[in-house]
Order: sequence, then structure tokens, then C-alpha cells
Amino acid sequence: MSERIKILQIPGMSRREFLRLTGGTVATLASSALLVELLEACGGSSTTGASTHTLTIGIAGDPDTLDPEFGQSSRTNELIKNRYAQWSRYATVDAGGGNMKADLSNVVGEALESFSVDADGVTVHMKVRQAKFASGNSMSSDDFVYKVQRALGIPNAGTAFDFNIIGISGAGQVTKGGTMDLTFKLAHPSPILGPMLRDQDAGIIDSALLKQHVASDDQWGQKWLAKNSAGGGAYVVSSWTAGSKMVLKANPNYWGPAPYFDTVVLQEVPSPDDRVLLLQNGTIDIAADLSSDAATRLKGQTGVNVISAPTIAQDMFGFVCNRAPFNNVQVRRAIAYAIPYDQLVTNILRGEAKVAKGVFPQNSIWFTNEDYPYTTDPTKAKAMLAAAGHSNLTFAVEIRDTDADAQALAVPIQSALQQIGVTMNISKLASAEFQQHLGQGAAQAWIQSGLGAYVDDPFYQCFLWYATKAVINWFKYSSPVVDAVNDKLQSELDVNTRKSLGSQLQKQLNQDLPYISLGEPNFLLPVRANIGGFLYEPDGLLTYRYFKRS
Amino acid sequence: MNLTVCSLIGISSGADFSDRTLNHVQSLAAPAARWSIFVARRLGSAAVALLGVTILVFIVTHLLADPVYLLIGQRGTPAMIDSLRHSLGYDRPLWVQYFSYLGSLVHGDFGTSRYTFQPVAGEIAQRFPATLELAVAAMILGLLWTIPLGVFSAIRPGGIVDRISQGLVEFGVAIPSFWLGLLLVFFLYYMLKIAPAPIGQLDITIDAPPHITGLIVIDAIIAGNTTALGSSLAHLFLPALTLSVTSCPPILQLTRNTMIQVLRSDFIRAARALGLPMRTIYWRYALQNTMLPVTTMAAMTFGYLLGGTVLVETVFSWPGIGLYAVQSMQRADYDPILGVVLLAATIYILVYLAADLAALFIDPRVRDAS
Repeated sequence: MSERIKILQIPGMSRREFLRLTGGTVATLASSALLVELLEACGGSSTTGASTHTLTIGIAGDPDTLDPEFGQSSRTNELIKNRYAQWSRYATVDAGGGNMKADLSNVVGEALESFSVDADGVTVHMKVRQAKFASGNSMSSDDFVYKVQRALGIPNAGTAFDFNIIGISGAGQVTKGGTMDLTFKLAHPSPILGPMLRDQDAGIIDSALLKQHVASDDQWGQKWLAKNSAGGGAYVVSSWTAGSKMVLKANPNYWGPAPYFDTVVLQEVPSPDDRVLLLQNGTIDIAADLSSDAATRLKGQTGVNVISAPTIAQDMFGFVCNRAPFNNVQVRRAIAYAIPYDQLVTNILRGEAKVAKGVFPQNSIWFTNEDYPYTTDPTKAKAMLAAAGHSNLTFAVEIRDTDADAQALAVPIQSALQQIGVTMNISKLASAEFQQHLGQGAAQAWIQSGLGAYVDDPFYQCFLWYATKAVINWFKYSSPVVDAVNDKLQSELDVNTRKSLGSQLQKQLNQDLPYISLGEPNFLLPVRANIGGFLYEPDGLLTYRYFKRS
Repeated sequence: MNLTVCSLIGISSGADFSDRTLNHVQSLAAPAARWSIFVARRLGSAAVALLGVTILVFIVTHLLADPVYLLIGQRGTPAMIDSLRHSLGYDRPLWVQYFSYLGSLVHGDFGTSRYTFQPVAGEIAQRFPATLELAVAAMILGLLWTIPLGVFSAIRPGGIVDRISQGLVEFGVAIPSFWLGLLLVFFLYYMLKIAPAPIGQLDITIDAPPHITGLIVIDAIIAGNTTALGSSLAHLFLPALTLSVTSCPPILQLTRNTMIQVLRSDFIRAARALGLPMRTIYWRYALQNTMLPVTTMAAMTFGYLLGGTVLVETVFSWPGIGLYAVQSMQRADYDPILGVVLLAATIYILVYLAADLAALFIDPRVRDAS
């Protein structure tokens, strides 16, 4: 033994030092093995041990608030939709492949059992469903009246839009009948009453519960409702660690069928690259908030299915029509001829989009295929610019710095414009600054991806975007023709007349071109191959209660 | 022998051991008042610096963007926008808004997030422990590899260990932290499946231990929750490694360079001549004299780690204060931005103060000079 040690001894090293070195090496190896074991124990697929009835969704960021009156981001809206029962909803139809889509022509009751409109077109009778909130409180007409009071009572509540657009601007227009009945007295007949009451913001609040949390300086309980739930939807928030994850549990008092997934985990994963890897490894079931590029790259990957659904959304190149150079319609039209539409749809949107055939999206049930001559024709674009006196045009286009699709679209457009002597400077802005510029009309032009109306209706579009006094007329566009159409559409209930008005609207928009549709992208949702039950609705928000695992 | 060695270390005055010991004791005991004055002066200048920070950040954030348009969302009318601006007080002159904010700050009110309607202090308190935990782990990991490697490099400059360590320094300084993080995630999580998913502090299926300190590792130990402890340590490892590799190389370099100088000094030569074991010379005497600048550098690195981990937090979905700050800046949510910047500035000031105090304690020359 001693002979062997001698052989192993390093010259100049004592036996004690040798033993210490050997001991240290063994300890290091042992601790390394322990570390690897620890990593292995916690590594790999983190869904190990998770119930098959748990749906894990990787999301980019936290919702802002849980208060249904302040749904600004899509994530916040999605959570409102899944935690609160709306007044109504679209009926669903089979979309094939185990998925569904909304039947936009058929609105049915949700929190309401039924509703009907009198012959005058302005008196609406509503019957409340026999249902309970998650708290166990029974739903009654008081909750519906309270909802309207709160939406109109909180200054700046976005929900006011839902009621204003259908002709309700004061809480006095809503009267309670019995415990389960109420009546609306609209200012004018509304063709979009049903679709508006299915908006996620319109979720009914458990008024008895919320009133326990109001304060003298917070009469609508905003502080409490920002972090808590008072709904009667299919899910309730079980826990929320801001910046990390939110766990939703199925609402045991939900009036409808119990959802397949009793738990939904919204795991915050800010890096889109990580969300892709997590989906591929099976750690998450759905990778949300991915760019078109990232989502389409997942097609054909083992264990992953990319659900693709046609939408009424558009990737928009918006002009600010009251600022030079785009206050000249000829310049707007010239730019429209310079855009490489096919290249954008094929290379940037990777075939998961349609080339536009008008300012209105083709998948809209109101699309009438009016004359839309703008195809890629750089020669014509150059000639038109010269005729408009803008041979060496330079302008700036603004993009939100979190909008990956808009950034990708801007680059080939910049190159195409360069070829006809137009310099387009791309300016990436933080969300707040971008939104401020949109609101103030401070930009010359902007690009935004995936903009779509939550309600497929020409009046909704006009009220939101196109009318001179539209809520978000980011184009600063004004047309007497469009304003007149808007006024008629507001209260016109006859479908054929509305079709005709919608056609007039599209004709005018195609001529005036307040924006260019760069493409009509599909809604893409990368999921694990065993996840089905997706429901597509125009709002693009996920409805968790229909998802299933096969 | 020890007395002789002690008398050799740091000697330039020629005073004998008992005299210097007495001076040392006096220098520790008598100047308590001097230390207090020193600390008070530093805290006073810190308060002025923080005031300057509030002014600067307040102006910059308020000029950056008007958050009202984003707050109101896509369905806000001009009347609603004006009403919201008025209710938030953003229509008042900037200096009025600033003094109003300062008044609240004096009373410990850091304001309220305009998005979540929650007090900023509470939101920071919820998120800061995650960043602190990551920074401490990265620092410990960093010191564990940089200081020994720096010492070994200095023992034989130009040798194999030195060349490897120089390569590591160049690699650590050159590679962006988010890129290294992504590489580690790709190879260790996605390809080899031996690392946990980059989903924050714990596995999806594991519940966090009861909140006591907010530090998951500590809370798991307190709760005796070994499952959470194992998961939290595993999840901590890769982000901490990423940060230690990209943030700590200056410590290695400084340790090496300072150690080389120290090893060339007279007292080391004398210690060698006296036949002290090399290990004792390196690790006890030379390293101790190397630690002064290294401590300062470590403090600076720690301060940086507490305020600059946002990219690594993004890659590893770490729910820390960096992500909170970025989210707030995206939204121009003024109060959270101000709160985070003030916290970061306070940390920097306190860390530097601690480093200075440590230097006073470690090195009598600094103490005498002060």
C-alpha cells in the first residue's frame, strides 16, 4: 500500500498534502455529482408531475389590472373574458380539427338568459340567467344595473365605450324590473347591441362582493378589483405573483359545463425565444404572444401544432392625413403602389396572411370587393410622386418597439421605397410614446401589426376609426361621405341597407386611403400537439374553458 | 515565528509589535466619534445625491412621454383623456408635480402605479427580493471562482492557469449576458435537458414557501420545504452563473494584478526568506494585502448586479426589479420608475459606503489618511 502511495506521490509533495489534495478532489467530484443530480431532479420538462388537467400558457408579460373597466392590453382583456360572464356571446360553430369559431351572425345569452328588442328599436327587455358568482352570491338584475353605473361612473373607464356606442350614456337609461329583469332605453336603435354586450369589458361584477371593498376615496372599489376577482365566469384567480405567474382555477359555481382544464397557469416568460423552447420541450402547452415569424417557424416541429385561423385583423401602414406629406391623397396612393405586398405576405408573414383587396379586410362579413387598384407598381408610384411634387420624398414612420411583426414589415418597405427615391426613416418608440403620438397625430406615418375590430361591423369600425370624431381616429382622417354613412349606420337595422352603406364606406376609404393594409394575417397559436378545443373569435382572445387535452 | 512574521507585514514605520498593536486598538476604539462623523457626512452627501437623482429622473421621465394616452387605451375620447390628465394632476406645472411627489416621498409614500393602482413601495418590496437573491448568488459564485483563479494566475504569471484565466476574463467581458444566458438555456435545458426550464424561481408545479423574507431559498429553508429549496437552488444556478461569468471578471483581473504586485513586495520576499510555507504566504499574507481594492471592486460589482440584471432576468423569466422597471418605462408609469431608480441609487450609495468602511477597517493606512 505504502509502495503504491509512493508511486502516486508528486515530487515535493508531502503525504499529508497528497491526502488533502485527494480528499479535496473526491469532495469536489462528490459535490459536482450532487449538483448534477440536483439539476437533473429539477431539470428538463418542468411539467413532470403536473396534472393532465392543468393548461400551462407561456405569456410575454403580466396583465395590467384585473379590473374589467380597464382592459387595455390583450392579456388583461383575455383574463377579463375568462373570469367574468358577459351579457351575451357569439354562438360557436365547428371549425374542423377539433377547433371552433364564432358564428358572427348569431349572438346568444351568456349572463343573460335572453333579451329582446321592442318594435321601437330602443326598448330592450332582458332576463337574467339563474346563476351564481364565484363567491356564491346569486346573480341578479342589481348586478347588471351596477355594472352600467360603474362603467359610466368611473371617469376614464374604457367600458363606457361599450355602452356609448349602443346609445347608453347615462345610468338612468337602465331600469331594474324584478330581481331577474331589467330594461334598456337606448338613445337610438343599435344594430350592434348583442355583439357589444359580449365584449369582455362588459363582464358582470358581483356587486355585493365589491361593495364590501369600497372606501370613501374609492367608491367603485378600484384598488381592490385591480388585484382581485368578483366575477362569475368559468375561472377564478387562485394566486398571482406579479412578474412570475398567475394560477386560475375552475369556478365551482359556474353555470355552464365544467371546463376540461381545472387549472390554468399563465407563466410569464418575457423572452420569445424561451417560449419557443419551452413549448418544444413540453414545459408549456401554449406559447402565446409570438411574432408571425417565430410562430410559423414552429410549424412541423415534433409535438407542436400551429393553429392558424383567418381573421379580420390587418397589419396597417397608417398615414396621418392632416400632416405633410400625407395630407396629399396622391402621395398616399403613390406609396400604396410602391409596397411589395406579395413579398411581405410570403417572406415576412410566411404565407399566413392574405394580400389586401381593400381597406376593409376580406374576411369581414361586410366586405364587398370594391375597386382597389393598388398593386405593386414602382414605376407608377414614382410617376405619381413626381406629379405630386415629391420626387425626393423623405418621411418618418413610427413603430412600437415591442411590435416584432411591424419591425419586420418595415424593412422591405423601406428598401422598396428607396428604389423609387423615397427615404423612409424608421423610428422605434416605447409603448407610451408611440401611443401618445398616435393620439396626438404627432407622427407622419406609423405601422402596427394585427389591428382588428373586436366587432365585425361597419358602424363599429366607423365609430372607432374612420369618422371625423371617431374614438381613435389615429389617421386624423375626415370625410363628409364617411361621416354621413356613419350617422346612418348607427341606427340602421335593415341588413341590406347596411350592406349598401358598408359598400359606400369601403368605396370612399379605398379612394381616400387613410391607411394601407399590408396584409391580413391569420391568427397563429402554437400549441402542443395534444391540445385542442381552440375557439377563434374576432377579438383574438383565448377562451380557456373550451380547451382540451387529447 | 508568528510574531516575527507579523512584524514584517506592512511595516514601514519601524515601530515594534506591541506599539503597533496598541495603535491599532486605539485606532479602533478611540475614533468611534470620527467614524460617526465620517458616516454622517457620507449619509448627508448621499441625501443630496438622492435629491439630485429625483430631480433628474423626474424631469426625464415626465418629458419622455405622456402616459395618459396609453392609460386610457384605444377607446378613450379627448374629453376622457383631458379628464384623466386632470385627475392624475399631470396638467399642473412640472415643478408643482415635483414638489408634490417630494412631499409624499418625505412621508414614505413612493406613489402609486397608474396601471395596477397599487402602491409602488409594495410592488418594489414584492419584486426586490428576487433580484437580491440572484445578485447575492451571482456574487458568491463569482467570488468563488474569480479570487482563487486570480491568486493562482498571479502565482505563475504567463503559466497555463494564467492563460486560461485571461481567456475567461476576455470571454466574460466580451459576451453579452443575455446571449450567454440563451446559450446555457439552449444547451442545458433544451438540448441536454439537465437544467430546469427558464421560468423564474421555481418549477411550475411547485408552490412558493410562505413569504417571510421574500428570498425563496431562505423562506424554503425556514419552512423546511426541501422540494422548494431544491427547485429554487436549481433555478438560481444558471442565471447566477451567467451573471457571475459576465460581471465578475474584473474582480479576477484585479485580484491577479494586485496579487502580482504584492508578491513582489519586500515583506513577501522576507517571509520567503524566513522559510514560511508558500501556501501561508499566498493565502494568508499576500491575499490579505490584495483584498483592499478587490473589496471595492466586489462592492461595485454587487451594486451593478442589483441594478443591472434586467437582461438576465428577461432570459430566465426572473421576477425581479429589472423587469418591473422595464415594464414601467414602456408604459411611462412615472412613480414606479422613480421608485426603482431611487432604490438603485440608494443601494449604490450604501454599497460604496460599506466598501469605504470595509477599507477603513481592513487597511490602517486608509484609516490614518481619513
